[in-house]
Amino acid sequence: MSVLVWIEQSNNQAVPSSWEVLGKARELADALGTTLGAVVLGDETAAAAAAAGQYGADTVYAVTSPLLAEYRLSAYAAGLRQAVQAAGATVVLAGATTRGREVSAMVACSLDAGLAPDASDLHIESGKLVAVRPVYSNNLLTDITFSSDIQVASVRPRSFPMPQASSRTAEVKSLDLGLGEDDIPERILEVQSSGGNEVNLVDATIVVAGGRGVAGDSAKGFALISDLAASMGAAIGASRAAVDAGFVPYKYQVGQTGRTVRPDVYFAVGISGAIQHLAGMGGSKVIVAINRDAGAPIFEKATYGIVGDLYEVVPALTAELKKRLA
Amino acid sequence: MSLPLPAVISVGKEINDPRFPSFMGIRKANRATIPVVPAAELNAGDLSRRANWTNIRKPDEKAASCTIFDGATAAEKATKLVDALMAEKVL
Repeated sequence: MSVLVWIEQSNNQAVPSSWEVLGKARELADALGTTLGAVVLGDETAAAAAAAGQYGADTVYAVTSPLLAEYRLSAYAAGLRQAVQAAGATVVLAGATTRGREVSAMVACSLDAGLAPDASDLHIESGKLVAVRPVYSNNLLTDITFSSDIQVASVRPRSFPMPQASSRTAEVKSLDLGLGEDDIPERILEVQSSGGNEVNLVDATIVVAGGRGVAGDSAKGFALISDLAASMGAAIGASRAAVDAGFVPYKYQVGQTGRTVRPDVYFAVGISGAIQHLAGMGGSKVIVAINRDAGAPIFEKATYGIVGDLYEVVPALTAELKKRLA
Repeated sequence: MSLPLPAVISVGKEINDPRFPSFMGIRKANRATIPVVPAAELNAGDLSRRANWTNIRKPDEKAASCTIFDGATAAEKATKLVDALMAEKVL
């Protein structure tokens, strides 16, 4: 019996949500009175393996192979399964990122284990994992309990705080992937990067999102939103209205048919607050609404609001933040 | 990416805007028979649940009280907002 967490890497850097899950997993392992393992997969694993020890893992299983240089589902699922078996893990966790969701699902299937996808909270009851999962666009919560011995869950990014790094070190065990190139059906033909150095929307602690209200002058509107975001190191988001109108690409869309975000602060700029949009950002700690219409439904969800013309308010806010955060 | 068939492919939400169903399509759908195959015939193995949904509930409503910052100018409103955000230590 042990708890095992997949530490996801992107460009050989661990993604922050993995550490959030590892921090929570430490609590779960302590509650179960068992050990905490982390598994790092990739063609480079040393840095993430060392960091996993600092963030609380007792043992790190490193599967290092050139076959893992690019993410491929069957290869990564095979590597994670190796680690589950080596660790004798009964609780297997991953961040509910695009990759984490599918890897955890594939591993759960192949181990005939129960799966709690997209969990927002985890705890232990009578020696078993219980996962809390928001369903129906966050309108309901359900507890997921397991009848299998192995219990797999993926955890929504930013559900748990980032753990403090310590000076501890973990024992690192190298595992063999046990696969050859011919055993992996997927071939990566080409990798194209879709953006520059923007902050990842889902992992961001601050998000600035624009909506229909920027339509008055969309190019200028989103330039103002970018400036505001840049002043705080925030990610940019958009409502469906802004995406459908072609102001920004789909990857920025927050809401029921886009991304779900739960940052510390969410700035809704010129967003009326349709229920489908609220479904994607209602979990934010602090919501700031900037809207010309004092009757917009976003103000019912917001923590703070400014009623006014965004073309005046946003530049004023950017200037103030630059002054105060400098 | 390339992969041999048969394969399972999941597509993103942005791949297409679905068309509106046509009148003829709706009529055809009404007449369509949907085959029902018993699980036993699918040879799907043990179908008992590994995970169970329990205690389905409404989440606690967030106390919705929005503080609106007023001011003579946009700059004044912005200053008040930044004060509040700094006080909450979220920036």
